[in-house]
Amino acid sequence: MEFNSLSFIIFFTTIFTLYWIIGSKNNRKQTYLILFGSYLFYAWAEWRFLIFLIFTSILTFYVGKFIEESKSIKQQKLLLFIGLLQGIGSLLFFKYSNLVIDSINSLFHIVQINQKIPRLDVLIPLGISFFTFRTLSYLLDIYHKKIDTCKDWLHFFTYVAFFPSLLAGPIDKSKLIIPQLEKQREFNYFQIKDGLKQILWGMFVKVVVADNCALIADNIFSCYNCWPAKTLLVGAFIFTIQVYADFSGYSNMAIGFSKLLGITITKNFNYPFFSQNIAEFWRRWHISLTSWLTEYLFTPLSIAFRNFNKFGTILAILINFTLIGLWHGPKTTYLAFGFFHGLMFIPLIIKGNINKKNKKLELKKLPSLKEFINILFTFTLVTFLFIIFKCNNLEEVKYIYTKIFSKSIFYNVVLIYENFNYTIFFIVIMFVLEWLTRNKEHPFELSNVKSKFIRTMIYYLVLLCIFIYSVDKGANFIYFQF
Amino acid sequence: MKIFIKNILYFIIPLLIVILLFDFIISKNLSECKSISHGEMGVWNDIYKRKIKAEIAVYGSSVACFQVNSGLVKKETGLETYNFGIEGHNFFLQYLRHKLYMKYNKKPKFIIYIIEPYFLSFNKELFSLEQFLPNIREPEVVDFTSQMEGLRWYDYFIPLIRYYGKTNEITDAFKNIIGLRENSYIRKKGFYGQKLTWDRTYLTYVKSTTDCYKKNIDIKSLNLFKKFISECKKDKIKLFFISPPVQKEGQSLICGKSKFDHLIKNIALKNKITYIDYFNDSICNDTNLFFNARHLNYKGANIFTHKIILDINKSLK
Repeated sequence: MEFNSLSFIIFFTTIFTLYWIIGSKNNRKQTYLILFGSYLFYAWAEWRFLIFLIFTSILTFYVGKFIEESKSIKQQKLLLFIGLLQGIGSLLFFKYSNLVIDSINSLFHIVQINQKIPRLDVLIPLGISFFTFRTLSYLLDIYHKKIDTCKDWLHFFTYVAFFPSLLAGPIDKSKLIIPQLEKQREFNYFQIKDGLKQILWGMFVKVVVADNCALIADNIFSCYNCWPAKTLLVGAFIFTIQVYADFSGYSNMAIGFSKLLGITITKNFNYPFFSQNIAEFWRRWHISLTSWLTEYLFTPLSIAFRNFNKFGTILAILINFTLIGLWHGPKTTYLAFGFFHGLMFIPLIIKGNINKKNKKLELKKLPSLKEFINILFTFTLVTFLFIIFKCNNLEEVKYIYTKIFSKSIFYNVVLIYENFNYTIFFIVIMFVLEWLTRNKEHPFELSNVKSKFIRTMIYYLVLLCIFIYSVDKGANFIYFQF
Repeated sequence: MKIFIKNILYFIIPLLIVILLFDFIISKNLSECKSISHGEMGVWNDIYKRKIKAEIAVYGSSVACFQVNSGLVKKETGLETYNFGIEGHNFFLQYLRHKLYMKYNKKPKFIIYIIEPYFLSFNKELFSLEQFLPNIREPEVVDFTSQMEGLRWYDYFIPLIRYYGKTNEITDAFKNIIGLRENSYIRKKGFYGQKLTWDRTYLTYVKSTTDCYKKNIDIKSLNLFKKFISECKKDKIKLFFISPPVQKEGQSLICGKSKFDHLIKNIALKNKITYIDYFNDSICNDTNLFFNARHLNYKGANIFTHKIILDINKSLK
């Protein structure tokens, strides 16, 4: 059940109506409704996954409770270990077991052992990486005494399974969601109106921009050896925009649907393509994942490596980004994607620019030439790295890079897609709107447009664009697979 | 809450009106775009607008619409002829076209049915589904297309939703409104002659994928076919069954031809229907008359049409 499907619209309208009518004066009823809705939403894809989700919730809830109640540090450590083992263990099992098996088989082959371990035929529970990171942060925060345990199972289970962000994030911290579940939620007209606008923006970006980009990019990369360099390059740019539009579109819809339920969740993207260097890009891209890893991985690693000065930071960054790459799945291309992103940080670490924030740009109408070149350079760099992300193996990556830097870059671009022109038009519209509203949460706030009539007409126009220019059988959300 | 409901209604009510209006405008204009779905829309348009006054109707799939020249039939017989061949569809959907033709137009005196060995198999895919969109609420269309895959259950009753993401069709409809679309018939009285030369690609492709095509006879389609024959009998429509020529090399790709022949011959015999088999006709030896293994080109179509008329002319008097 995808956010842009009719079944979800029917599902959400029902939940929304019951939520504000039946549960308007009883926050427990509201929370029950969210939990029921979340489980229904999850079971819609595959009911067996629901058992796993409930099991993870139960285990984390009680392990958290016991950690807090336990007086002995040794016992706390053991409990934390159990909790982490379940979380990380299930992630490793579902996502990486075949990678491990393949590696062992390769090792057997090298040392000439005539044994082959069969690959496991496991279905990966949808959104496992997202809800597992939520439960892990909950346990770690309790262990480090950053938060108190959640006393009410209902609130905790709802936090873990909260359907707008269940399948593809954002990865919210419990201290953000649980307090909101505990208190009475009031029907806030302005919040709901804003939520609807944000959903519309997310829908536009996903359905009109991302899905059309997917048609082009998939076509180019499915036959990467058929095209000249320029076409591959165009494909790489289009794919990078596709990933952004797909994921940020989803995130905007998730935030919008949460607002409709009176709940605020984390912003996941902050106009990353206006970044002036790779560090800034990662502060603006998939924010909830990067901040999670910064808190629970990069910071402890930096402290552990602090004696190595800049080399220590480089090492921590490389480990952090390699894991970000691997988080996407058991593929060497994902690993390389993360590792190379890490490598791009090295010049910034050496120059000491890694944490430098450019606030000036947010206040300007247009960037200076230098800023523009920086933005363009960062976008191009990211695009080249997304080629790795798109490819199925490193041979493909090598082939494409070699081709792009070959003589065929001077040949004419070959594009046979009838949707190409309007896709480019909508990409430009998306970026222009984002640039103009980059200080706001989303471009459809339209607070500068004073006339209600014009605002309404803009929304109708967007709906019309979604209707006409969507792809009939659009691509699935890319991040659902992670 | 009250303000929210009020504002939502203010937003949705005009939207609903626009949706209904758009549904009407797009459907009306799309049905006028005669070249859509390789000209199928033109045929549907003629059917729904009661424009057909044929005495001879030609039925079948692409082998009918590509291969039987309605103009030539009229010239040689003096009888008004229309070709109802529907590309990519077997008997199940051919029967839908027949039903709607009968519903809105004068009955023909003769039906020349171009029968391929697979015409009684059932293809689930609703090929070229855009041709059905403008008239989706027609009860017969609902009945037949809903048994196939392509349209969703809600496409039949939620206005406009069936056009979601159909960029080309919506654009065509709007182009038609402002006169930007070339809107003449690409089929002449249903005939869609292909001025193409012989090309081996299709044959090579099929040979590389299979030894020969195997498709089972669908019982539902067979029963419907028997029903069709008895309906024609009742309406005093004389039927002719014609097995079309297949290019020599391509013949080996058709499995179960003799079994199928046996079935059709029996049905024909039982119902006193003329059955003429051109599967092995001399036409089949000349690749210049084909553009692929299964389809005659324009030149081949004229020769084939002439042969049919010569063979059935007496029966048409």
